[in-house]
Amino acid sequence: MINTYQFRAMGSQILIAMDTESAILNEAGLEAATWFQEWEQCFSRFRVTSELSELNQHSGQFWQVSQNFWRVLNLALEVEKKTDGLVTPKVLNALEEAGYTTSFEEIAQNMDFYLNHSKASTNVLGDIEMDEKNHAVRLPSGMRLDLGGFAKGWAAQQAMIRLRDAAPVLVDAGGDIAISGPMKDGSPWAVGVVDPIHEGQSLGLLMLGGVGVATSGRDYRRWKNADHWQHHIIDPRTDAPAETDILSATVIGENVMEAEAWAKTALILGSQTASQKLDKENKLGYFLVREDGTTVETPQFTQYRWNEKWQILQNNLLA
Amino acid sequence: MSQNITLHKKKEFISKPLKFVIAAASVAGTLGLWGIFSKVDVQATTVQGSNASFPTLATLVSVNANSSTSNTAANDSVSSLPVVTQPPTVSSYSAPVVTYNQPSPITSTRSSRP
Repeated sequence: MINTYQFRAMGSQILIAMDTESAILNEAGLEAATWFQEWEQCFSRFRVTSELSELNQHSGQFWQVSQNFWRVLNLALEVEKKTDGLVTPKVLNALEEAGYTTSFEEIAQNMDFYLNHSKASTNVLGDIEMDEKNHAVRLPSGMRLDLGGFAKGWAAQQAMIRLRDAAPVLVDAGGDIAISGPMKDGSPWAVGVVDPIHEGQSLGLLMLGGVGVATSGRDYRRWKNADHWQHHIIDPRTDAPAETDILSATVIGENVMEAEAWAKTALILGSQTASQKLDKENKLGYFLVREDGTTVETPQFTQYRWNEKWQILQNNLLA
Repeated sequence: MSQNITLHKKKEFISKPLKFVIAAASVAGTLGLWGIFSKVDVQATTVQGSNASFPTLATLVSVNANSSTSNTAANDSVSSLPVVTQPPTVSSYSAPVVTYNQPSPITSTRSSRP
């Protein structure tokens, strides 16, 4: 029996679905909400008192961070290497320059104010120094980090890992989804793919277990700045919102952080280059929706789509 | 004048019991007893025919059971019939359901939403 529990955290709606009784889920959900609050205090760039904000305010000097912050920052820097620097946390200055200076809900409500007060600063290059012994970090002077999407994916994955011993579980953090193994009866979890062009419509159903899935897109978190549509995916090569023909990229990966990172990479690169780059990671399934409505999909992605074999599997599980 | 009268005994080619049998058979035929007897035979043949068709019905029932419930439901007589476990029968049985039995998504992946 699948029960769901929802709450708001990290600027998104968080959904926890567990294959268990509602009493166990409610207990797990309350606990998860506490974890997310704690993580938001670590990673939010919109909270002046968060660990991330404090580190950003103390660039140029070593600043001690918590165990979770240390782990997430290390993972983010690994992703930066794997994606040849395309997905990096060092883009906060450029993000704010593009007008993304506060939570998106607030931008939507006070668009004019925030666009007129956006900061005109540029990204700072250089390496981050990591003191492993003391878990201390030194950012180059003037560099500011944004762990936004990556931290949210990590939070979803972390919550899933902590809860999966109690029952099969799915954690959805604003569209980035971490999934434990299959449900109790052995069947996979059904996850839809939202159509970025036609609101309210779906582009199919995925049957997933033991993987992560994430979608990066410029169909929602976007705004108009100086007569130009801006979005929140920064291309570090230009320090500006990525110029791309992809409207949304959905990737299935071993975990949700990996999926999120490759989805963002695809979006930044555009469909032609993205295919060349992601095909090297041949285990990944990806699905790209281009601006003109055409799509690109790998066989690895197609194998997760609902089809006859899932029906037969379901029949066998019921038998 | 004396007359020598000789009494000839009428010769009987068919004996009286045989005549009785023939007459009785004739009457019986007339009354339709043969017809009655023959109907009893037809009924007996039909019953035998029904018995002969039971295994076929049992096979069809077991195909349904196989596609929706456990194989352990099959009894000895059914399991001895190889046609029961042929996969194509199961596929054709479930085929019309495939397209329309898609589960509802628990959630959906999408670009980051508040």
